[in-house]
Amino acid sequence: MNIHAWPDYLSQLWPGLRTSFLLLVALVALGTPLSLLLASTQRSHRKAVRWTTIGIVEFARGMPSLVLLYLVYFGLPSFNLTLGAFTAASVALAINYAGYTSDAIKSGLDAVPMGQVEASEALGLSRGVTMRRVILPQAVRIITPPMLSWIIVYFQTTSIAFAISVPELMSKAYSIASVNFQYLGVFAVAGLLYAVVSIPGSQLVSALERRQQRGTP
Amino acid sequence: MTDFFHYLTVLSSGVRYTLELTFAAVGLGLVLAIPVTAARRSSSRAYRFLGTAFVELLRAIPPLPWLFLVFFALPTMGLTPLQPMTAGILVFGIISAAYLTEIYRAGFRAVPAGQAEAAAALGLGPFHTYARILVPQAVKTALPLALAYFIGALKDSAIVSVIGVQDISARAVAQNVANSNGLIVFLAAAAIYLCLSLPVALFGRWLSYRLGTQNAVRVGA
Amino acid sequence: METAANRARPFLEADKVSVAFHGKAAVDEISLTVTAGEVVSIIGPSGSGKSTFLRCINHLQVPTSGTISVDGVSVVDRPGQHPKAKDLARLRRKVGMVFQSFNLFPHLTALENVTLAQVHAMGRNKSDAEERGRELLAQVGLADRANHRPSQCSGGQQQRIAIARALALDPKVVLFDEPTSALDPELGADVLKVMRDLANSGMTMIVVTHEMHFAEDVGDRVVFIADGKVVEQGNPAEVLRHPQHERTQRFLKAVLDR
Repeated sequence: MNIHAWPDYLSQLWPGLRTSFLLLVALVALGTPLSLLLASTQRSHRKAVRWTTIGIVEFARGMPSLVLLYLVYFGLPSFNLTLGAFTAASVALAINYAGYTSDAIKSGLDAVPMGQVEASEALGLSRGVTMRRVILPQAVRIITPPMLSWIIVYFQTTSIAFAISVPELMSKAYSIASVNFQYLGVFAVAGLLYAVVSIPGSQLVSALERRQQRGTP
Repeated sequence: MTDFFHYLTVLSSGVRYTLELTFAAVGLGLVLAIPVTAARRSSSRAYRFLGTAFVELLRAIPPLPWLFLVFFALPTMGLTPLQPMTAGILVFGIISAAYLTEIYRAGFRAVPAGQAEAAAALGLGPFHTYARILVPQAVKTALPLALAYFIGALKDSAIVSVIGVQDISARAVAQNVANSNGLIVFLAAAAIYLCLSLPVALFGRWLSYRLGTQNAVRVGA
Repeated sequence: METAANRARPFLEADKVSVAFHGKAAVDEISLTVTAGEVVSIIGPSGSGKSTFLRCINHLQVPTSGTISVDGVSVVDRPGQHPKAKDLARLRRKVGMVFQSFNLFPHLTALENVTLAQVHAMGRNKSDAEERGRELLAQVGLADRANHRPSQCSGGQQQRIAIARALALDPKVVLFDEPTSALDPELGADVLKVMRDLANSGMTMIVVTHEMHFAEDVGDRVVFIADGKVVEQGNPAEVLRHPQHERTQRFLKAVLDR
């Protein structure tokens, strides 16, 4: 194992890591509003709305992320809609992410006491104002740690975008290694790059969780 | 619609590989997780560190780099190349050991400390304390979590298609290349995965309802 | 203006209001008429349906049958009908509510609690709302707590902030749902004083309470509810000192003997 070459691999992998991050930013930016929407429609009083939402959520997370990725990338052209690999990966992973995270958002919203909604109703606040000004600010505190840990999970999941050749970290690693045949060194550095982001991330989440457990009255 | 059913039959030839890989990997993980759990619960600081490092490192790196390391990199070190299936089982087995360790620990944490103390006070040795007192109670929490993990592993296993395991996903990719009918092909693949995971999910729901352990602890996807 | 004529005009009318939970009547055909400026105390054993009835008045609880009108506004013509958002907003502008558990917004300061609905439900501009908010906080004796969060205030202070919050919409009637039940007697006294001042200023109030002294001294009328029905009502001194019904006698004996 030639450890001296590792800094060199690192600099070659850097653009790939950047693309992985961009993909993460894109999927979180697309997925979070969708997740919020799914969480609130899951709380709807109308049965039809609730069941439709549950159907969408189960569809979004019932299949492997990889299959959803292929479905968006190779399936949308049937509707005369062809997305580039990066966009397709962002959309597919955003749907997948929204499916998983909507539960975390829903339980955060559910954790806000019913009395808060009643007080808002009694004050004549509209549903929109109640959501934005009363429920969300209280739910955000509860939701932040699980959402952060999902974001870390999805940072790792961006690696499957390799399968449709998005030039992210794994694609970069694969193309470097298939030229210099240094599979061990290149993949080890790539793997460590994931770990270097994920481990501090999970520690931040645990720190937040501990602080919250202390903070709750 | 006929296309959909056609692909359904074609792709189901991959079900065997998907199931074989998932069962073998999770089976391996269930066993490997026992010593790792013991290390993490050990009174020795060194064992605890090793156990923690194992779990954290495996969970912090996605399956794909592990898969490439085992499949492509090990042979460059003079080891015999592994079959794709063997590499897949090995990688997912070790990864699931890390996640299952956390699930076992969650199970033990859910058993009140007084149980171990009572067992000790009664003069039970460590083996009997675990076998007769702690494990039966920990299972209540751990089993539903392990089932949820199994479903996750079933879906995660799709990634082995990129190193050539002929599972459901690999067959779907091949059909897509041959017929460029991606929408229907991958919908069929999704349907198969759903059919495989649904019974387990329903069983898990029923089980946690029976055991009274809904929403115990969240584990990573 | 407080003339005899408008004092006698029914301001709030509840007609045969019933609420059933899972087929069991929690509120059973309660009718109640309240005139402007009147202070009505509702007493009764817990689980008697008195709070549920109170919550029907501002439609937090949807009645299974019966109708309610407040100052000429009724949100539904027939029971089971889905009220229009506009009518509901109109009703709630007229009706303030104070909860047993305060239900203050924990992430907002006292002043923000009092201004939120003024800005978002009434459309007041922010500086007017804050001015009115400070006025009300001063009125409940908490001018110095304006920038504190609820968690930094005592229970009695929190409930007084909640009263200020309810008054901020200039309601015509204020509903109190056991406002002192969650408080130590000493802290409750401050809340009762604020309520007494409010009653003296001519506010129409409906108070579900266990505070018999308040009911007798401040209230114009006492309504005793048991098993979802009005058992007895009338002048507070008469009802509390010389109850006619056996059920009322039993309840008052249990309360006063403690």
